[in-house]
This record gives sequence, structure tokens and C-alpha cells, in this order.
Amino acid sequence: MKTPDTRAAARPRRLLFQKYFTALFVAVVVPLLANGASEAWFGYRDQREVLSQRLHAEARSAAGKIQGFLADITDQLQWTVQLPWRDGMDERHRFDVLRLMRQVPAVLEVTLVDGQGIERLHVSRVDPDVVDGGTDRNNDPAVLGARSGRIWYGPVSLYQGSEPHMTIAVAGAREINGVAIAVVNLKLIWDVIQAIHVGQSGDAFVLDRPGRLVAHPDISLVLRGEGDPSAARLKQLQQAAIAGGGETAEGIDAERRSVIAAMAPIPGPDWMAFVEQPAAEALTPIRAALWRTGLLLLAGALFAAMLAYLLARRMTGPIALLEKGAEQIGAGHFDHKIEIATGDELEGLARRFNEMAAELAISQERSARIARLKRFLAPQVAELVEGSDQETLLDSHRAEVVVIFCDLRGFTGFSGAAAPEEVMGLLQEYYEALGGIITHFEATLTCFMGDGVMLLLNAPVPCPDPALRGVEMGVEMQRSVQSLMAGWRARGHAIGFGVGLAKGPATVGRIGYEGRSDYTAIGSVVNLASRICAAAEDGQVLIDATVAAEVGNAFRLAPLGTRPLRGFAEAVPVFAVQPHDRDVVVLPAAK
Amino acid sequence: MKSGHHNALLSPSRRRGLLASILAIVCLPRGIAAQSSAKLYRIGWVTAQRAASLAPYLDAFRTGLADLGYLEGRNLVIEYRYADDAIERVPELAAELARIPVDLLVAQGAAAFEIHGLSIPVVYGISADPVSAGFADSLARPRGNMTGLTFMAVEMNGKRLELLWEIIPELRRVAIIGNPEHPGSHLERGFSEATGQRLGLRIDYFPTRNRDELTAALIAMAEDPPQAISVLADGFAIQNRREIIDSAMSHGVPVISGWPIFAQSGAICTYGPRLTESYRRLAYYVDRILKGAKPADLPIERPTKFELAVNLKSAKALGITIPQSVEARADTVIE
Repeated sequence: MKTPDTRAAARPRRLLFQKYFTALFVAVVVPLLANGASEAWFGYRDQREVLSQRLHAEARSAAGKIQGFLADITDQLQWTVQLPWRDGMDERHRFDVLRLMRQVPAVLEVTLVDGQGIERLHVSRVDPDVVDGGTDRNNDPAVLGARSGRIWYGPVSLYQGSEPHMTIAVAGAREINGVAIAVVNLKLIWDVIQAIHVGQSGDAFVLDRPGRLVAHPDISLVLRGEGDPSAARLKQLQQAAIAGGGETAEGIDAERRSVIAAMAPIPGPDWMAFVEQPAAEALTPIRAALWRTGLLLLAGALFAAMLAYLLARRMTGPIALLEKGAEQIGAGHFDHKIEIATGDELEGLARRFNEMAAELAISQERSARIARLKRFLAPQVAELVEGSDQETLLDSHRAEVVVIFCDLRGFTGFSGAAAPEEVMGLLQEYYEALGGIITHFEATLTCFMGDGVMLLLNAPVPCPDPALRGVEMGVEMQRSVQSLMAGWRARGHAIGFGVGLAKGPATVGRIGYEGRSDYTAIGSVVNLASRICAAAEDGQVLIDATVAAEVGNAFRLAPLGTRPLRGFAEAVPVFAVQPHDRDVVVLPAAK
Repeated sequence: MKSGHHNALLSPSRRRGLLASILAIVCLPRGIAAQSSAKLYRIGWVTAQRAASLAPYLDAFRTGLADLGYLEGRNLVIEYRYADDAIERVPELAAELARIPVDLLVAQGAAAFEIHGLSIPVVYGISADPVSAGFADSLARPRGNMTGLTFMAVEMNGKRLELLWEIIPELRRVAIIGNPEHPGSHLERGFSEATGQRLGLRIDYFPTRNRDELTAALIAMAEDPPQAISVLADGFAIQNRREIIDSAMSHGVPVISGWPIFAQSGAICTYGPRLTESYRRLAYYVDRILKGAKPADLPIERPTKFELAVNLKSAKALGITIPQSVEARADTVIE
């Protein structure tokens, strides 16, 4: 049964540590986590918003640059329709066109149509020029478009399935100025588009409304023309961007990178400029912020764990010390000191424990002493002696004492004949009866001698009227034992009881050795009392002259004359107490 | 509330320091790796021409490579093979380069037509139309393990005659000097003759395969000078440009050709794609292929920039007034 006990004793301490640790850790970590998580979430949202805004700004900027490229061409084209088609102006028109082609390398060829819609001039960088071609271009969509909106952008077409070209037509301010139709090699937008960088590895590209790649930093992609799978992925990005409204689109770009893209419209030719940034790069600040938050949370959690561990240790350590101390004190080691210097309530508690141990030590010593005193003193007297710090009372001194002897008559014969159980049972009853009376009268018990008892009064604690008290006690003892003996006699045991008292000076004190001492009186009065007792018949309480003199009228005494007593040279006067007059003994109050 | 917590843990400057050291730890090995893995590329350059005639274009090509981070002697080795006008030697030279081996082959001009059955990628710069040369299904779809760009020299011949016609009033007779062994030469001649017909010109064609034929041609022209000479630019012509031009000038005959180098040597004007630009562009193909792109994924590019060079000094010496319409277009004017 011991092992489970120690285990049960060990477990709660661990649990307390765990409880403290958990509570402290949770108290720090939960708010930290909640705060970190909310910050991470809001930070993420803000960063995504910032990213979206940045990419859209980049997209608008890219769209602006493409528009700038086109505006350069249309501005230059305007110069070719600045003058009307009148006689003698042909050379002037040609000159304007040549200058335009010198200025704008992207223009591959220019056709001028006069106010009547008749083709007047065709200048190309590659093909032979045509002057006064004379073709009616009135139904040419370029001419119609330019006439209705000043500037007309044709669809993107691929030269030999590769280079993207577009026709741009510009009408003059007056109809007579005609229309200039230019074929523009869109490959040259590359100069513009390749210069656009988004972040470290992000770039821009342009798609037309049907999703055909118009411009891309990787010119090969543009030149591959229709049906290229890489370009198809960009078309998917375009669809995602259109579907997403003003939001950024996520997808796979031509280089198979996972990207975040934003779109901005290019109104004139109805194109769309896209900027894209690899998701990994675009989200780097977000990821960094999340990592930072995570690491700080981890650091915070570790710090909290450390703090919780230290605090829990600080709290449970003293408690363990207290428990150990209590165990030691419980085992009777009252000199055990609990050393706790935490400066808080626990230190106070330890102090209380130590004080308690000291007091327990004192108390135990006291109760040990009382127990020793109780061997011969009545309990109340013992406590009185102990408490009053009058242990000097026990020191040997001469005192006027009343010595009381009592014993059974015919007991030796009885004990020889009767069964041991019966002998011991009888003695038990007998001593129980006497014990109560001895205690009551606060008599000092010096010794048992079989069925005989020697008692003292007025020593070690003085009492008033010791003689009267002794007589009263003797009478009471006689009465009590006599009532017991009625039963014994009924069982056929011929046993009697006699009491003898004497008063006189005697040396009183403790005799014995370490751990085993008795209190006794030595002097002739002891012998006298013993002899008087021996002289007493069953039912008699005999007293000497001194006692008789002191009892006075309190009891009726019957002088029995002098009796020769062994050990005494002269015969000694002896008196018998007549108990019948006083059936009820008024017991003096205990001190 | 949390930022306070952070600041308590780490001061901002300390945090920056920490961040910097973390970055250093993260980035340093990558930097070292990049350095140690800097590959040495080896490319082959093969041409049917001689080294001297290609010097400016080779420079342009090397500049293009340098712009893309390829420097000879550092991370690039170029193995040069010149057939020295013996085009039949090209297959042998190309095979030799393939045995070295090289990562890819750059075939200049006509040499591209002579390279067959090599497993390494080929980047070419050719005058001819690659589709009709059988190099591609379309410009967007190069065939096999070859791609590159076209200088589009063929179409330009018509434009040159047009320019001559504009510069010289009453132009009726033009002589053309061309090397019939230069692939696509017949196309150039065809374009020239078609335009001449349209403009009402008489075209005399002088095939010049070698110096003997050239000398003969120059003598013939000296006896009966044409109104102008159009030189079909090829390696041979470039090589002998001074002799051609000096001879023509001495008889008061203006010369026109495709590449500006002729104008610099005294031709009255040249018109054609900006060749240096094209050679520079070849480096782009080299770069892409060295980085793992398949030649078939790199469409064939045509020149986008054209160059008109006018030599006013020669014009003045010949008593020719360059019309304003031509001068206004000139990208380069030599005075």
C-alpha cells in the first residue's frame, strides 16, 4: 500500500505544475495568437489591395505607353492630311509622306486618298511606289472609318502569318484633305513593351479584343502567330481579367509562370494592356510579412513558455518545499525548517509552518511531561503543575503529608484459587472504582502493590485540609469498594477492603532513573499509614491521632485505643471513622 | 499593441541588421552557385565569305552578344570558319565545327544553304526569302533545327532602281553587277528586271563570279558606260567595292547598292535593311537557343528598320543633284 500512496502524493504536485504552466502559457499565447492572426489577416488583405492597385497602376501606365506609341503615328499621319488635294499639290503630299516614313519607322507603307475617295499616292518601304493609282477607295472600311471618326484603327493582321500589322487611317479636318491610310508594323511596339518592367521579373503584354497577342517582350511569341499554346495561355488570362472586372487575374503566363495580372484598356484600337508579375514575387512582401508575424508569434510563444515554466516553477517549487516540510513535521521532525525566500505569501506560509513546527515541538514536549506527571498526579493536577511552571514542586523536600494506604483482604487466597481472568477482572473493577476517586480527590499516586495502593495528599501540590480530604477520600473509597464487594461476595469470594491514613512529615520527591521515575514519600508516617491500614478490618477506615485531631468534628470517630504496631516502639492510638453518619459525602471542589 | 511588443524585442535597426544577415545567408550560396556554374559557351561561325568583308557585321553580332552578356574570352568561345569565297568548302567547315563540338552554329549568308544533316542548332542570317528557300513553312514556323533572320535583300532591288530613277532624270540604262553563284542572285536580278521594265529601263546584267569576270565587266562598261550601276551586294562585291566604284566614278557613272558600306566607299546612295541591326539581332537567336529554346519556336524575323545612305560628295563629283524627296528620307548623308 505504500507505493500507490507515494505515487498519489507525487502526482498532484506535477498536476499543479502543469496547471500553472498551462494557465500562464495560455494567458500569454492566446491573446498573442489572436492578435497575430488578425494582424496577419488584415495585413494580407491590405497587401493584396496594395498589390492590386500597384498592378493596375502599372497596367494603366503600360496602356498609356502603347497609346503614346499609336498617338505618335496618328499625330504624324495628321500632317499628311493637313493640305487639300488641289492641282500642283501632289509633290507636296508626297513629301509629307516621305517625311512621315522617315519619322516613324513603324509605318511600312502609306496610301493617300483624296477628297473624292480616289487613291492618289502609295509609298512603301519595300514595294515600288504608285503615284495616282486611281483606285476608288470610297468603300474601303479604313476610309469610311476615318471619315466618320477622324482616326480609324483596323484589326490586327499577320503578315505571312507572323508579323502583326495594323492599318490606321486618319482623315483630314476638311473632306478635301482626304484620308491617309498607313500600314503599321506592330512589331515595333516591342521597343515600348520590352522597356516595361514590373517588379523584378514582371512584364507587360498587349492583346487585342479577340485575344490575339499584339505585343510581348518575347517577340518570338508574337511572331509565332495563330495557334500558339503559349499565347493561348495569355488569352486565358485575358478572359480571367475580363471576368474578374476590376480585379487582378491569376493564371499561367507564356513562360508557364504562375502570375498575377492586371489589365487596362487601350481605347483607340480596342486593345488591352496587361501587366503581369510572378505570383511568387508579387506575394513576396505578403509572404515576408506572414513569415515575420509567424516568427514573432513563435518567439512570443517560446518566451511565454519560458515565462510560464519559470513562474510555474516559482510557484510549485515552494509548494513542494512546504509539502516536504509538512511531511517532515508530520514525521515528528519539529526542528525541520522550511527555507523559502520568495518575499511573498508563500514565504509567510513557510514562516507559519516553521512557527507551527516550533509550537508543536513545545506542545509535544509539554504533553510528554504531562503524561509523565499523570503517572502519579491526577490529570488536572498534572496539567496544573505543568502549566504553572512549578516543576520545582516535584523537587525533593520535606512536607507535612497525609499518607493513605488501602488494600484488599483475603485477596491472596482468592487469587491463588480463582482463574487468572477472574482475578484480573476483579482487579480491573477495583482499580477503576479507586481511580475515579483518586482523581477526584487529586491524590498523588505513588505506587501500586498488587491489590494495595499508596496515596499522598498535600504533596507535591499542597492542598487545604489534607487530613479531612484524606478521610473523605478514604470513606468514599470504602463505600465504593464495599458496593463492589457485595457483588463479589455474592459470587462467593470472601474479600474485604481496608483503608489507613496517617499524617506527618516526610521527605517527598521523585525517585527512579531516566525515563522511568515515580513520586514518593519517605518517612515514618508512611510506615505508620501502612501499619494502620494493615490493622484495619474490612470496611474500616482507620486514622492516626494527627488525622483524627485535624478532622475534628467533621466525622464521627471511634477511638480504638492504642495498638501495638510493628516497627513502632510504643503503641499508637488509632481511630476508626464512622461513615454511617454521613452517607453523602460533600466533596470539596477540585482545585 | 503588437508592434510595441516587437520593438521591445528588437529595435528597428537591430531588426534590419538581422534581416540583412538572413538575406545574406539566403542569397550568398546562390550567388556562389551562379558564379561557379557560369557555363562556357562555344559557338561556331561559318561563312562562305572572307573575314575582311564581314568585319563590320561580325562586330555588330559580337556587340549584340555582349549586350546579352556573352563575352568572348570569358563565357563564350566563337570558332570562326571562313570558306574564303569557296562556298563548296562550307559543308566541310560546318562538319568540322560540329565535331569540336559547338553548342550551335551561326551560318552567315549563303553558307546556310550548304549546311545539311547536322544535329546542332543552326542560326542563320540570309538575304533570301526563307520560305521559298525551303527553310520554313512560314515565317512563324521555321523548319527543322534551324532558324534566323532574313535581310530581305531581294525585294530591295526594285526600290533601289526606283531611287536611281528618281535621282537621275531621263534614266534609261542601268547595268547590274552580280555574282550568279550567290544564292538568290537570280531573284535579285528578277526583281531588278521587273522594276526596270515597269520604269521603262534597259537592264544590262554582268555576272561577276571572279576577278577576271569583274575586270571584263568593268572594261565592257567603260567602253559603253551605262547611266548607273546597281551592285547586287554579296561578299565578292563588298570585297571589290572600291574597284567597282572607282571605275564607275572615273566614267561619271553613279553606283547604287544595298549596304551603306558602299556609300561610304563612294556609291551615290544605298538602300536596304539596316544590316548591323540584323546582325546584332542574330545574337538574340543565339542567346535564346543557348538558353534552351528550340529553333522551331523562334520565328524568322524580317528587318524592321531600313537605311538610306546618300553620298552627296559623290553626287557633287558626278554633277548630280540629289532631289529633296530623296535627301529628306536619308538616314545617313555623307558630305
